[in-house]
Amino acid sequence: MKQKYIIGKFIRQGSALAMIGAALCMPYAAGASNATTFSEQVNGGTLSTDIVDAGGTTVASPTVSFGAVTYNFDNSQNATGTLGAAAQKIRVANGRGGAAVAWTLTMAATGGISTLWTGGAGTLDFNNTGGTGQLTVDPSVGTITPTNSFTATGLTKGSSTAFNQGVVDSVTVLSASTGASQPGRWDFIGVSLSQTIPALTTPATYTIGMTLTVT
Amino acid sequence: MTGLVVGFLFSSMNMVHYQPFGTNVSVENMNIKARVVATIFTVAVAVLLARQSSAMDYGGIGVRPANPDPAVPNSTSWFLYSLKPGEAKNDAVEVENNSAAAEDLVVYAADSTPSSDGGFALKQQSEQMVGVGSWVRFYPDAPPAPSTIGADGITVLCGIAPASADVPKSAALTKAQSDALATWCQGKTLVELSLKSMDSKNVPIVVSIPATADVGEHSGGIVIQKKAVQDQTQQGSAVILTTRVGARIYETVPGTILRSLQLEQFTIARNQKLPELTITVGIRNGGNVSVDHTTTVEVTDTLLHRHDKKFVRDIQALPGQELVTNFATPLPKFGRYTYHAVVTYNDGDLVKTLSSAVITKWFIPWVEVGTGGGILVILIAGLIVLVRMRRKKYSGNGWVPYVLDADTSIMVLAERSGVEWNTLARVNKLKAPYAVTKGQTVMVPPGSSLLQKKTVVVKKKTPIAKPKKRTPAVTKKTS
Repeated sequence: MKQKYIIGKFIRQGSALAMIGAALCMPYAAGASNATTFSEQVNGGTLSTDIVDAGGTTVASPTVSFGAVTYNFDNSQNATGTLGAAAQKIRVANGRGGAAVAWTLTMAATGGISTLWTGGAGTLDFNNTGGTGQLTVDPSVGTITPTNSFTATGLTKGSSTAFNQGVVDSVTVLSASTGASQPGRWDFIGVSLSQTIPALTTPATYTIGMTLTVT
Repeated sequence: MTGLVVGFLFSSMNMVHYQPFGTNVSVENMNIKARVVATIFTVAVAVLLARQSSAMDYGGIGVRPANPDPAVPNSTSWFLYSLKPGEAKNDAVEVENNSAAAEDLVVYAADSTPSSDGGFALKQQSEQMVGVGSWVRFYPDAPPAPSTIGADGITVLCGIAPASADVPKSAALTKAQSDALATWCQGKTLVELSLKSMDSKNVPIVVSIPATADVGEHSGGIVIQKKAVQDQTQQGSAVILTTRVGARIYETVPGTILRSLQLEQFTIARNQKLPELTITVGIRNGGNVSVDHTTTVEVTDTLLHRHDKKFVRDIQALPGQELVTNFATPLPKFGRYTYHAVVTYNDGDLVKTLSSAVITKWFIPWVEVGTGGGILVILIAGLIVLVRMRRKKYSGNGWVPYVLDADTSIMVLAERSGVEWNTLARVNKLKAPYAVTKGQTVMVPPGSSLLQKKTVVVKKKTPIAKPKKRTPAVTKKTS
């Protein structure tokens, strides 16, 4: 019994020594290739859009200001603004991994197709072709600036389009084909906005909500 | 902040260190060293990542399918289903906050709506959903106890789909529990979430296809946007901007699938504000599913007989819509260019090709041409004036004939005539050595001092070329 215990002890000690020996030998064996294996995984991200300032920080309350017009009894006028300026750039970041997937950046009224410009007691249409107010968006005059080392290949600026209730309720600002960089990140500035102000429009400061959606 | 979601996962880290032969190294010592090195490395990577995070100035919110199928292309970005009418599917949406701050978010489903140029857009939260947007329900919370979501998912728990044999029936619940479960099973159309920075959450969803859904593609999306109402005070009239992100849903109800594209528009126009040319290709999808296609526009410089540019774009046309694709290219300075568009797409195993008419355009830099032309006209006019002045100078008009009464030199004659000798020579067509002899008639200016000695009567204007023949009467005044 004791002999068996001693043998077993020797075996156990032998195994332990063998393990230690093997462990000690491993560095020498590995020393031939000096192999150090790391494994890391970079997960694909998501698509997103935001309005950022010149430094790339998200603008808390992005707005597009329009030039003022003076009350007119007889004629309609155009108030113009620019969506995307140096201090409020439209930024689209596509952090998806894998095969490139198309995406589209669109703009539509936050309140839906029945929403209005509101200012005091006055209101103004943004999508009426009958002369009560219409907003035209012209992304074609905008400028795309890729960040980092990405390119603008595969991106398409939208055509100049006027909102027209029930016909054009959403305007395409920018779109990317599968040929666009993925991942990729771009800033877009200089989109022209023009709102017709009908004659006899009540003097007021008008505002309207617009939503940029990237899908 | 990072805009790209980058997750570094060190799934394995087998560190083996070389030791010089004969060095005494204990396992424990080696492990300690390995741990130290690993710790240093990890800290270094963490610091590096932190630096990268601070350098990446973009932070955003994102949404994507939580259960992508590796066998289905694009399923990591879009929800792609082929469910039959009346069928339902369990799924989940992953909502991410990749910004530096915690965000309160709202999540909802929306119908797709056509955007200009054939773009894909989603309805606003304020609008009524009647399509795919109304087919999605969210289940952000666990079902009321004692119910749990089994392997067959919410559809079975809630009786949306037939239960399998091993799923406990709700009949085992009390009435109160059953009522609570029934309420829970209705799901939510809108979910509010609070996510910490760099946090994400999976929200289970059920997509139920109405029994009346038509064959073909139905699209929509799951949208997230920030819940907080932004401080939108501004000076003067303004558009108040909000941003949101959507993950598309494409549900194709099986049946007769029709893929049909028509090339409806191909135009070339100058950009009104930029020195660019906009090439527009409009494609109508007359089928009942989205069609991926390739649009190629070839630009050829016919004067130099070379392909100037080739634009290729792979893009998707939504069913029932016209997709307008714009290609921007610098405005050519000069030349004759042709433009030709070709669209290819697959209809099953067939590759179909649509070809446009060839458009030819001349490009002439009118401003430069006008400027150059103007300068040329001025130069020509100046030249003409100069020639006329020279002709006038050497024409001898108004000069009178004078008959030399003695041999002399042209230099003396010119000095006495008050003109340059070469002018005198050219008017009188004298050649070298410009000899002038007694009796020779020469034309001289009327104020010449030569004439003070003689009176020359000219009855007829005498051409210069033949002065002798054209001086019929000369009266010499003898001194």
